[in-house]
Amino acid sequence: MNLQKIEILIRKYESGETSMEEERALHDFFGNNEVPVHLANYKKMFSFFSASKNEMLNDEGFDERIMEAIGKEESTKSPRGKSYRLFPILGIAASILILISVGVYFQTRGPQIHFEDTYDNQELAYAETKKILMLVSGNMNTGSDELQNVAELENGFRELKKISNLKSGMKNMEKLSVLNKTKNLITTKK
Amino acid sequence: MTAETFQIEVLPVKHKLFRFANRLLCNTENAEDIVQETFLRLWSKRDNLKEYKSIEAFAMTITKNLCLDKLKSKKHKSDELTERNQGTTMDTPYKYTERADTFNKVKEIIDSLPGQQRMIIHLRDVEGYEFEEIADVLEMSVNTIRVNLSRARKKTREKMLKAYNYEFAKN
Repeated sequence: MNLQKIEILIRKYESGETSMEEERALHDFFGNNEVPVHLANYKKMFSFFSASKNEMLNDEGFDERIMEAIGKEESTKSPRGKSYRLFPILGIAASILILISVGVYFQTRGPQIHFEDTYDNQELAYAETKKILMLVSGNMNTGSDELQNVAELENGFRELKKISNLKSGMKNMEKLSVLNKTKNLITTKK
Repeated sequence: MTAETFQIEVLPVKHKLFRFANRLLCNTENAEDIVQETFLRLWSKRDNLKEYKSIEAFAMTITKNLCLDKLKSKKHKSDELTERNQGTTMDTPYKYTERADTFNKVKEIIDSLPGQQRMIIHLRDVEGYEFEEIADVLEMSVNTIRVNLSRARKKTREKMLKAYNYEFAKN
């Protein structure tokens, strides 16, 4: 590459308009050629850039340190521990939500439970209420009359108790077995 | 992402992160700490790493932010100057040679550039990043980057001219 071309590239380079490829060409040129005095500073600059790229992290034991730190984080970050920490927050959030919803419920519900008087005369209203209550209790009584048939069931149970007498009868029957023994005695003596 | 793939795919970017952090902080020890912190942050985000089009660019962004935080936090600390000076004279591959001298001189000039320009010239001229990649890392527009890169290059050239003319005059 001739000097003229290099100087054009340098101007482009200083305006920030060179492509990566053109910059590589500049690096190559200044890295491999002796240059005239007026370009000497560029040579220094480019050799600085190339040398900078060789700077390395002093990584003796670096990877191990990182991997160890990572391993520690892994083991302390169990899902159980995480949910445990989350629990009080969830509890607080839930109680706040309940308080808010109860509050909102009563705020919106409150005015709706307001009853309006349907009777102007208080005594008439009392009489009407009494009439309705009597009606309800009367119906209740006829319902409970029907329930008395259930008491009949008790009588049935009493009758059934007589079956227990069967047991004593059976015991008496056992005495018959004595008859059998005597019969055996008689036959063996023969 | 498993620890093994993390070690194979993500850890090797450490040297690039270190150079970038060191360029910003001018202190190898702090730069190393920042790189370590960057990896821990990457690991904590390991489940989302696939969403980034370039893990390297994302890692560089984390490093950049950590460095800027660090610089902000110790802006008023008196020991910064001494730390910086240490950083500029040590850790060069060519110690006690003429080339080392040149290296340190240019380094000094680059490191005297404003932070943003320093980051851009480093990513472009040292690491060879495309403009889009630099835009990704620094979260800036390509145009801003081009303008700042041009400023950084011109300023470096001017400062070198001054520094070396002074040396000529001295001799």
